[in-house]
Amino acid sequence: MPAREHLRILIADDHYLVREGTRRLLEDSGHVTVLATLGTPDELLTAVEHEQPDAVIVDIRMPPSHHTEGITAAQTIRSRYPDIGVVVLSQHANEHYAFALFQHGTSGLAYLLKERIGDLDELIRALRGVTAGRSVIDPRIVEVLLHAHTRTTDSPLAQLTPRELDVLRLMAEGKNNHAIARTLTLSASTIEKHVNSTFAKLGLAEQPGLHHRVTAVLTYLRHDPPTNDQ
Amino acid sequence: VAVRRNSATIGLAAVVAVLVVVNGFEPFGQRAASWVDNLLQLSAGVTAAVCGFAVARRYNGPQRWWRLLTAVGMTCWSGGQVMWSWYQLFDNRGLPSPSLADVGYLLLPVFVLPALLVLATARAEPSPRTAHFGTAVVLDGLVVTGSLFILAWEVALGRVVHAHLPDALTWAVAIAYPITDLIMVTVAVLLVVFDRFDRRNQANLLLLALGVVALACSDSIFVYLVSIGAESMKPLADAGFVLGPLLIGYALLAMPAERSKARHPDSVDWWKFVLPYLPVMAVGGLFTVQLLSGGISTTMKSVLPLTIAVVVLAAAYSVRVSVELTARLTQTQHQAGELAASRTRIVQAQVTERRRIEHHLHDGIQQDLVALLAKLRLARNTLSSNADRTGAVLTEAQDDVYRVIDELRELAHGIHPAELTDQGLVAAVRSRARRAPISVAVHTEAPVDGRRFTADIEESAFYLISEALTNVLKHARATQVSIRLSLADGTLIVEVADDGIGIPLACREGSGLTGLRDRVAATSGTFEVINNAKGGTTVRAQLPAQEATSDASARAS
Repeated sequence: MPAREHLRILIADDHYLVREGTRRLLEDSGHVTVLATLGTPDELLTAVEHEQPDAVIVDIRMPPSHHTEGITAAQTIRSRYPDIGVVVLSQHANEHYAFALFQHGTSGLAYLLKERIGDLDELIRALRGVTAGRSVIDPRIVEVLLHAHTRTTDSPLAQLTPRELDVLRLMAEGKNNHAIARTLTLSASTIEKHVNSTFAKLGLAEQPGLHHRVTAVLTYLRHDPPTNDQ
Repeated sequence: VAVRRNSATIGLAAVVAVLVVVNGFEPFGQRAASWVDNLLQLSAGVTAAVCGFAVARRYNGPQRWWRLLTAVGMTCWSGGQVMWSWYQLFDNRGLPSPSLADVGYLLLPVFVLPALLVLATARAEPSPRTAHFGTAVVLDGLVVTGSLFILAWEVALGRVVHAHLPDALTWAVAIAYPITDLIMVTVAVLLVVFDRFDRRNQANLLLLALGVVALACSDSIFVYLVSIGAESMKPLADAGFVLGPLLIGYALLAMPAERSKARHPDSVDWWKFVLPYLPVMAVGGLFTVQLLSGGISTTMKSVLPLTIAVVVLAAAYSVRVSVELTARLTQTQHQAGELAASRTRIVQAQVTERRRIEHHLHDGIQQDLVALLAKLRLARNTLSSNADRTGAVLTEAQDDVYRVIDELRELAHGIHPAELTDQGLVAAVRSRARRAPISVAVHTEAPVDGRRFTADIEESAFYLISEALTNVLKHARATQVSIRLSLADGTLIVEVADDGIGIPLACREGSGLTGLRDRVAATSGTFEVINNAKGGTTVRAQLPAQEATSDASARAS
């Protein structure tokens, strides 16, 4: 699916200043039209039905109980409208919330920390990613997962070269080969080589689609390496 | 209203008692006193029967049955009384025995005994059994039964047995009174002593027992008079025949106390402990009287050593119970002291924690925000003159904000990790383990995974693991940690084991571990620190694992 140049989105956050600030930032970029801003999950679902946006930004903590209503809303939207991407903004730098978001599939979903609002380019990139059916996960989360693996010396990750580790990290964040190449300033063919060798070293089968690749990498990282303590 | 009714009741009883006593002195001649006496007895009996039938209609179950049985018994008794009065007032027979009146009188125990037992079964809940209940029953039962028997024997029974009565029927009827009275009184006293009735029915049983005792007293006098072949019975000796039915009437009227008015269930009725010894004291009194009058009966001589033996046995048993109680009291006081100390420590820990948070907010985050404000002001100053400088300062300011957000996140996480509430214990422990600088393996046994416990248990378990992990990282020089969570018999078992240098014995009772101990103790769990044989330390806690409500488990899924 080709990425649309101009994105039509909805923003749902129960904090007025945050949602209006986010709206202004995104609209000032010139790449995004904010169709509406909403304060509750129910309002969001109604607006999605009427507006049929390209993507939605939703806060993880929302009324009524301020726990994980944002995740529930994101999954509802993805199941009802497979073409609408959802970016969940979260104040939790905790991987289990990302796992909860991705538990029924990763495509078209993004888990970003809330402060990424300040990093406008990343936010717009995530919006384009989910609109195209890809998945995006915050680098902070990937970092924690990678760290849990690399501190164990007998982890398969120890066999990866530093370059391959970079590639794995960017794959987990949801970047495609092209984006990885641009980030690392390497050629796409070199990246492809690194991707293949990384998958081989981790014992993972090649994945056809991009979001399958993210799922595979996350599933791999999610499980801590077995330890030899008992 | 209840107070007024109580005082009216007591007033009526007092008036009747005074009337009986005054009438006993026969102020208007023997004939008038006999009339008053018989009328009082008859009206008391009939009143009791009417009360019983009237009140029984308002109840169901055992509460109705014991009243009906007692009312029927009182009806029979009143029938006997009618016969008796006829003999006394119209037939001019002073002390007819045996007579048709005896049939009515002797039918009373036939109904009252089952009534007592029915009342004893009318319990809302089974009473808790204290330790050594069985021994207490046997000893107190022996004391009560034995001394009541001595009393009955000395006053009436023995005399009837040895009396030379004209025929077998007279003898049988005469002996039937003390025997049935002895049985009724013994059963009533034992029921009271062993708390074999609902506290709500306490008033009923006590009044019924008192009524039975009053009847038994006058019965004994009657039998005594029969045994010595007396011609008539004085009105004062009939006091028990008036007051007994009156008390039984009150027993039938008394409403079961409201639960809220009932005393605290843990309270102890001291008089119940004394009651078994009242008959003993009466025996002692009787013995003293016989001793002073110089005529100790042969029965008394033979039975007294036995009585003393039983009482000594009971006393020895009391000593044993006292020793045990003292030991338990010491233990309880020790536990109370420990509890107070740990409560103080928990409160202190809470205060310290609040101070730390306040410090962090004021001297950390607030200062950062002030610095940020200064930077924004700087950016504004350079806005027109130096656009490049402005850009650089704004970038700096943005980086500062990222840092403040991180700091806030850390602080909020320290106060309470949101994932513990949102994702549950296992998820929170796993993410804590992932963030440790050394390898931390988390092992969970199947039922723990995805299970939600009550908030205080999850929090205690999490902080225990978190603190134990912090201790390991700070002191143990470990390379590997293993966290184990399992569930067995409703107990959550939490284990943090490391391969470090172990805890020196002196530090085992140190403040860091005391904090963990208090936390676990607050959930009524147990806590232990084990130095592993292979080196390293294992911190192990067992927490009572109440499952969370469906609300929390729904959130977890």
